[in-house]
Amino acid sequence: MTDEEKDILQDKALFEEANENELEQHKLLMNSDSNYKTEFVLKEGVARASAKGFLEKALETPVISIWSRRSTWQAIAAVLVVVFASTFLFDEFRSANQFATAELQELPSSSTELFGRTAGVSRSGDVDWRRLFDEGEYELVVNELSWLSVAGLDSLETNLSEIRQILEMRLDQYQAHVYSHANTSGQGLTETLLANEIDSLRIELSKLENEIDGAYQGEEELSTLRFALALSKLKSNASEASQDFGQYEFEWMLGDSSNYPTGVAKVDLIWYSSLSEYKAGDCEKTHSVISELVKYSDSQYFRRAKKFKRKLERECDLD
Amino acid sequence: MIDSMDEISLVDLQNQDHHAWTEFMRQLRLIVCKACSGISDDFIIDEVVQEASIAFAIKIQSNSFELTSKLSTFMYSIARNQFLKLVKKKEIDVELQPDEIGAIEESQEELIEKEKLFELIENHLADLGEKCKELLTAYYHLRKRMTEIADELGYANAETVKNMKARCFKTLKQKCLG
Repeated sequence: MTDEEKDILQDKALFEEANENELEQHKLLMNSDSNYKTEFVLKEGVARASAKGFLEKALETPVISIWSRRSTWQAIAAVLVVVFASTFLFDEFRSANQFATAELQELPSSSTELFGRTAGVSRSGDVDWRRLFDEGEYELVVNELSWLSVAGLDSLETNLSEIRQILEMRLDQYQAHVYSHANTSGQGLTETLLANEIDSLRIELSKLENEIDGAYQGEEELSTLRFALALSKLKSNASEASQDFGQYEFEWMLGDSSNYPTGVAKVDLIWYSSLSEYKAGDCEKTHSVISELVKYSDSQYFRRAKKFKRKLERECDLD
Repeated sequence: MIDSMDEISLVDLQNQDHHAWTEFMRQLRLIVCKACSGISDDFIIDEVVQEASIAFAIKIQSNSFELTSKLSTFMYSIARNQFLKLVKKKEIDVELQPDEIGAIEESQEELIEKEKLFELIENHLADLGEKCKELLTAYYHLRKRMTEIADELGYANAETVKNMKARCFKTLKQKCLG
């Protein structure tokens, strides 16, 4: 059979126009000739891709493309705009966006809901951000907490950093003294002098440790404030222009922070982080974060995370 | 809004009527839900809706296509077939009728390979340029004859279309398979 004859046979089989004999021959070649089979699948693929284009045109929207593994995030973003504009299609094709939007609506909307009745964040004398938060004034909360993050959080972090430096320096001195004491005891230096010096260093260390403990407590409080800030950004649409949906705060809390916000578990942070990265339009980062979350099989987010991950993989051309 | 898929005109669907397709997709989802053996996973439902609608969009362009049953019955069989493929491809744990288990001839590996190739084709079809894309679409999806394509796309004759089609297909093959 010539290549041209094979080509004709493939087309007939594809167009369901082959008679019984031709169909038999086609099946035989599909099982014995890998090149024939590949070419046939390619033709099927062309018909399929064109049919998708046909559907997109018929539906007057590129929504069909959200089903497939899209190669670019921008394509999804374009689809999402259309999905928002079309309630029907929004209902019909559950995209990652629809999923994420529904999840965003489920986020805590009041500080009581967020932090519980007892585990609140209190910074007496500071702005009444909690009332603003409860009233849904997220933009104001963001502004107020941003001010706090500059005035309070940053200074405390600077302070903490300085304390850590001093601590490290003193520890070095302490070690050096111990080493020196060990080496020089036999050289006639008075042991009492060294013991006093070491005692004073220990007291200093103890003081520094207490200070650092306090700083850590402050850091936890600030983490909680930072969490509230990030969450309000995530819930708010006011940050759309800046593309800031709290993703940097969540990332910081998951990465550099040694204290999680009050009443907030790591899985909560990962979940919120994934939603914020998604809202910010970073498909790959969202996938990376959500992949971390599905490792926690006993978490309350496990099923939702798996579902979200699958949707992302479908939409974002991710393996 | 309509109550049944059977109220939708096939001609409207063939002519890409927006309203008809919107209703069709809404009704298709209901049919897919039934065809998926009670599975309520959105991912599975979405995928079957997708594949069934594409399979249908291909079929209705065929010159030999003739609807011999109700549209809803026809779509149920397409949806069920697509669901069975998905079950095989993704190893979904679901109870099937004994005769359905062997209904899909392709192996799991073949289905997965095919899916990968389909993705490559989608990506590379646009790279071929508008002329090639238009020609391959006209031939493989819209099932137009060579003479028809020559007239519509402005080629000298059917032979030119045939040569052009072979060239476009060869390029696509090279792009997809290296």
